[in-house]
Parts: sequence; C-alpha cells; structure tokens
Amino acid sequence: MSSVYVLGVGMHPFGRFPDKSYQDIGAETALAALQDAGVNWNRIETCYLASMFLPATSGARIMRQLGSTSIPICDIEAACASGGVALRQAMLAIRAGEADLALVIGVEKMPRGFMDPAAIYEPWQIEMGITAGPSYWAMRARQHMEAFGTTEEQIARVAHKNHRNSIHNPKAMHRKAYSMEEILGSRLVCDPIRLLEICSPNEGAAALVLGSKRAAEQAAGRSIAVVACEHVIAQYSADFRGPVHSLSEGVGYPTPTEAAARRAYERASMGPDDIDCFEVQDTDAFCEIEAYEELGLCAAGEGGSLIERGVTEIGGARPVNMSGGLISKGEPVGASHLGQIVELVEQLRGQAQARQVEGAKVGLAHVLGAGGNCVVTILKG
Amino acid sequence: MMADGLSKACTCGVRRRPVGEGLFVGSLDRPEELCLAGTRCLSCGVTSFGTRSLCPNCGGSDTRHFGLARQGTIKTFSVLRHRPPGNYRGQDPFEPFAVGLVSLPDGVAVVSPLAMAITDVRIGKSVSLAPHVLHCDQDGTEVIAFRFVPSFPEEK
Repeated sequence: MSSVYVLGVGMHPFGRFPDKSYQDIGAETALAALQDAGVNWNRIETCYLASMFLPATSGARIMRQLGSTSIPICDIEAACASGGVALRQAMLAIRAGEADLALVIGVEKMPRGFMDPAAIYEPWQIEMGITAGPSYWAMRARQHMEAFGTTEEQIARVAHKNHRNSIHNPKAMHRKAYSMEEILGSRLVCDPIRLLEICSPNEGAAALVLGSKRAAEQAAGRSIAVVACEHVIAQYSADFRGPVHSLSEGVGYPTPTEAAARRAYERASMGPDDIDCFEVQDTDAFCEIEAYEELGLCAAGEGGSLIERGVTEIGGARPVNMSGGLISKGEPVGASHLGQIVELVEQLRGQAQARQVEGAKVGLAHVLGAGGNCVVTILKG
Repeated sequence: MMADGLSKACTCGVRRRPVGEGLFVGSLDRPEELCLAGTRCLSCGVTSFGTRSLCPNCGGSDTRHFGLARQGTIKTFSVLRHRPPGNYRGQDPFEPFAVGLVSLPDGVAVVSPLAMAITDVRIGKSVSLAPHVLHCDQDGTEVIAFRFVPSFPEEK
C-alpha cells in the first residue's frame, strides 16, 4: 500500500492566549507548516481540521484567512484522538488518488478545569458525581498498583521525567522541572493521582502538510513517511475511562491501545524494537506506564520498573515523551496527536536539539481518549 | 417490575422517581429493596448493567432483564478531592468522597459512589447496595440514586 509523506510541519505553542482568536492561532500554524514544506496554500487539494471544542465549520473559517480556494475542508472530532483521525482521513484521500497534497491541522481553545461532562455523560451520572475524568485514570492506576505492585513513586517518576524534558521544548506550556518531593507533595486530585501528575486543558495548534509519493519526490526538504496510522474505538468493556458506567467481566477483548498498536505494527511490518522514539498519551502519569505495556515496550506489570530504571529517558533504550508529554505541554485536544507528530518529525530530521534521540529513524505516536478512541501512527525518516 | 423514569406517587403518598431510566428493578415504594438492573444476552452470555433491548457486546436482541445481586466487592477505587463537574447533586457544601468499581457476582462491575469513611476503603472489601434520596425535584419528588455501603460495618 502506498505510503504518504509529511512534507512540512508547524506548531503553535500550547498554553493560554486570551487575546488571540482560534482563527489567528490556526492560520498562523497552517502558514508555518506550508512554509516548512515549501508548498503554497493554493496547491493544497484537501484539508482536515481536528478539534473537539471549536464551533461548526471552524476549519473553513480558519483557512479563509489563507484564501477561499473552494477545496473540501472537513472538521473532524474524536475526543483526544481527533488529530489522529484527521491525519488518517487525509492519508486515505491521498492513497485513493483524490489528492497529492493535503493539510491536516488541529486547533483548540478549551475552557479551564474539568471537561464539561454534559458532552459525554448521561444526566444521572453527572448528578451522582461519577464523571470526573481523572477518577477513572486514578481507578486504573490503583488497580495496577494492586495487581503488580506499581508504586506512587514510579508514577511520580513519569511526571518528573516529562516536566524535566519540557525545559528544552519552547512549545510546551509549563517549562519547569519539579523535584520528586514536589510532585509527591502536590495535592491529590483523585487518589492516587496528584496535581503535578496530570495535564492541563489549554489552547494551541499543530499542522502537517501531507503528500503523495510524487509530491514528496518534488518537495525541497526531507520528507518523513507515514508508514502506519490506525484508528480503533474500544470494543465492549475493553477500556475503562469516561463515560463508561460499568464493565462486563470475562469479555476479554484487547484494549484500544493494544489493538491500534498491533494493527500499526503489522501495517508497518515492524515491532516495538524497531521504534527509536515514542510520544504517548500521558493525560496523567499512570497512563504513560500503561502505554509502555500496551504498546509492547515491556511486559504487563513491568511499566513501573521501566521508568524506574531510566529506560524511557531521552538517553535510554526506549525514549518516551521527549517533548515533555501532555503533562508539561497541556492537552489542546484537537492539536494533541499532531503535536506529537511534529515532535517525531523533528526527531527524525535530527532537529530536536537538546531533546534529540541519537540516530532516531523511526517514531511512534499514540493518543487515547474518551470513549476509548485511540490512534497509533508510525513515522519513518 | 421495572422502575421507570416517571415520578410515581408511592403508597405512603411521597412522589419518587429513579435518577435515571432503567437503572433499577423493583418498587419505588420500598427503595431499600431495589436492585440495580441487569441485562443478560442469551446469544453471547454477557451480562451488562442497565435495561437494554440490544446486547451491548454482540448487538443481539435475545436479552433478558433481571435484578443484579445487591452485594459485591470493591475492585478498585479513588477519592474525589474536588467537586465533580457540571450539575452534581451530591453533598453541598462538597465533601470529598470515594468512588469505586464494584464487582457483582453476576459478571458485571458498576461505577458507584461509596458511602463510607475514605480511610476505610479497600480493594476486596464487601459492599452492599444502598439506594438513597439523592435530591428532590422542585415539586418535592424524591430522586432515588444508588451507592454502596460496607456490608459489614464493624469490619475495618
């Protein structure tokens, strides 16, 4: 099956920009990606916007600033996986021969605090108070601690690594390292998850110019191949996060991460050992430990040991979240996965500077959110 | 007998309704005897929570409705230290409370508030269903919700 290539990337810092409209944030980011690719907006044949919170037809409204060229612009929403789903749609359009050049952009402006539950929960769940996203993450963490002896300290180590990595990422919202004492001393949000172990909702954008093989050959710069991009929605009772209210026992399907990763590895004819660097979902620090196991970096239950032994540091055998992850960048939902792709592209181009993984050739990005929406993308430089 | 979403005048004269459609089996006249609703699929054998006509696992329509067991064990839990978002109708002013995934012998585990001291919550602890009045509508109708309490209160 034909590969699709990333010709250029652009990324707006993740943070809070009360004086900037989403249209300006988006247009600026789109232009940055186009410039990086050496491609003019009027050569783009199809465009996908990923966002969960922006209003209707925002894609068209943002791109109007670059010129109304009458191309199809499609808004895509799939909770935290929105960016990956938009990327996949663009890839399918190129593979189908419908376009040689596509723009994929994720833009988000989110309200502060816990996500409004009315979007995904039933009124009875909201009235009863069983709708805090972090409470589900916390329950999974507790279950893992009980089953495998994973410790609060190991969970804190993930946050420690990611906060420290963010010092070298100018696009991260929080660029501050915290000590283990500060992390373990930060206030509990939902036991055992603490404030410095979870990400903030915020604002930001990331964009990719995607091209066919022909477009990549004609492009000036070095293209990065998208060798897999798989989207999975969790099978019944295979994922425990909001808005699930119950789980049937003994059903035994793979988790969405396991399923998406398996398909992506198969598509790319690769395994976890072939991946040089990873950007994974770390809405909370435990989620990253779970991702280590479900992406195949280690066996079930070994995730705590992996972080403890420094294996997932930038200089380690399996670097994870070189960018500082969502914990330090924040999570502007629609832009999230595309921001991970931007990091991987910089790694594979050798342009990641202090965050650089030596000799990185292959990268994997993983995003997972509400309703068990999961995307795994593999890039090859 | 299903407890549907409509407000009913009970034999004692009080109007009651369940917090959500299809969550309970039994009479609102005796809320302490209500069970959580279960659906069993005769095609794939899976039991799910709620009153469903189609099986959420296989989509099959050969389903049976029944009341789930009233006692289970805590499979995992957390503590909400901040007021949950949106139209939360629990304790006001907010007090931190435990929430758990309660495993029932019917083969289903349910997310539920745990009405017990936060420091007493343990994985594996036996808990029993304790429906209660969560809040009242403007017309005085009592809204019945579910929670779990320790099955053996003297046990720590």
